[in-house]
Amino acid sequence: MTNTTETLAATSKRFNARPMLCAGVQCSSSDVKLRGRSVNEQQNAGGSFRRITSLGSVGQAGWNAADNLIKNFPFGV
Amino acid sequence: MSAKSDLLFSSKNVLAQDLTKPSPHLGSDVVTLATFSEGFYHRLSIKPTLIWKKFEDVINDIPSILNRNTNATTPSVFKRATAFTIAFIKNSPLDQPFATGTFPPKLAKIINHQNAIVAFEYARQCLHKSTYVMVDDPKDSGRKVILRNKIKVSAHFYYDTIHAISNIKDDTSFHFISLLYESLAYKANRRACYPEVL
Repeated sequence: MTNTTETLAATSKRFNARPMLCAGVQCSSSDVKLRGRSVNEQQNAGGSFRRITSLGSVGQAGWNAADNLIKNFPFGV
Repeated sequence: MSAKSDLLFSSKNVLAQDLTKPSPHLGSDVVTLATFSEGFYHRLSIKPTLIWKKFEDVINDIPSILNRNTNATTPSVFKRATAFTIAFIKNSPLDQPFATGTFPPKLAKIINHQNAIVAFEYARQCLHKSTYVMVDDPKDSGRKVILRNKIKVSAHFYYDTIHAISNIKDDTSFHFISLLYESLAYKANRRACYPEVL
């Protein structure tokens, strides 16, 4: 697994990715049990990130970010 | 595929840890980050090489960066976004630069621009619509804030931000980056901050 370069689709299948994937850092930090606290505990204090409901939405967000840069970043700045 | 097999597939890094306390969603978090990155590359017509171990290292570094730099038991969304940004640059999982033919050449000239840009863009979209509670607001204690407006910057500021992020070497910039995210979020969302009295 480590350092392989297989396609994302293949790896997603192998990971059996959850249908509910978090779009925020909260997903990463809470899911690895940051300081042993649950998602709900974190939400009340430090705040929380929204969730995106599908892996497709995450990919689309990346695509949109690049699209925004290409279209709106003026050349020669 | 079971959660256990998901873990086994994850990485040597995971297997080296105490498996009695697994991080069962690490694999999914890695896929999330990789998917966002891949989406970005696809817009540039580049088929990226995804180095999974580095994405795993990004995820695994976030808690330790937070632990080293905050005393808060529940770090703010800005600090969490910062820890992610530093972890991403530190591990730099994306080794293919953006081609100048399809990407603004000014940005593409920044060394390690691809990791700085994807890290900033991921953090920026995460902060959009994130929420927190203002516990110390003298007029409205406990007010819930939603960052409804996405962070928006000028091209000049964007360039400087990417340049600054690309130069991250370690945690020493943690608090300044956190303040940067916080300031940018407040600029886009005027009622998101405490009263400006000083």
